[in-house]
Amino acid sequence: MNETAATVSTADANVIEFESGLFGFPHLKLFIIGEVPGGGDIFKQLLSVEQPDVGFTLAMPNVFFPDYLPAVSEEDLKALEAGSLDDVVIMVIVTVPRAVKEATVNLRAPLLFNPYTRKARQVILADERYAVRQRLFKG
Amino acid sequence: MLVLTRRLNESIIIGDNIEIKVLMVRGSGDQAVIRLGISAPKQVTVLRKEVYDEVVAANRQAAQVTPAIPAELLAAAVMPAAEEAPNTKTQAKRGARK
Repeated sequence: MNETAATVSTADANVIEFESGLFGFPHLKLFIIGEVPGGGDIFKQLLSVEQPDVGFTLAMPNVFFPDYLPAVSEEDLKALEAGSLDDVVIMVIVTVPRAVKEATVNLRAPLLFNPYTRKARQVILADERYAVRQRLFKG
Repeated sequence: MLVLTRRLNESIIIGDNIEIKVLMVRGSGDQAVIRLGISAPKQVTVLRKEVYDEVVAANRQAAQVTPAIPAELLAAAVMPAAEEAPNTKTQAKRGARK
C-alpha cells in the first residue's frame, strides 16, 4: 500500500479528484498539480498521489490553438459540480517524445477542472475535427 | 463476452436504461455494414471503440513523470506555431482563467 495515499485525502486542499479516473487509468482518482520550471500558467504537471510513477504534462490548449472550443455537456458540468462553463478550466495532455518536434497534445480528450470543487474529469469529445495526437509543431 | 444474434429492427437491453437496436443491415460477409441506434442516459458515454482505444493508448504513452519540459516546447508557448488564425477574443477569455 502506498504510504502517500494513506495520508492524503480529498480533504487536502491541493488534491484534485477524478471520480472516474483517466482513460486507461480508471483506478487513479487523486492527483495534485505540479509546477513546471519555466512553464508558468501554460504547462503544469498532473501527478498521481496513488501511483507516484504516473504523471502527465498538461498544457493550456488555447495558447497553441486559439480557436479550440470543446463542447462541454450539462452532464460534464454536473459531474464537476460546476454552475457554468466559466467555472471550468480546460487543459490537454501533452505527449513529449524524445524528438521534441514530434510533441503532440490530445485535443480529442481534454481534461476539465473545476478549481472551486477540485473535481476533474477527462472527456472524449464527439467532434472528429479534434485529434487525439495533434502536433504542436508543423511537420 | 455475451454473444447474441439480432435481426434487423431487433434490440438488446443493457441494465434498465440502455438499448441498442439494429437499424439497418447492408452487404454481406466482410463488407457487411450495420447501423446501430443507441438509447442511453446522457451521463453514459457512448463511443466507437477505436476512438476509446486511441485515447487509452495516448494516455498510457503520455503517463510518465517528466521533470522538465524541453526548452523548445516552452519557447513554442511564447511564439506558438498555431495552425489556425489567432482569435484574440477567445484567447483573452481563456487566458484570464487560472
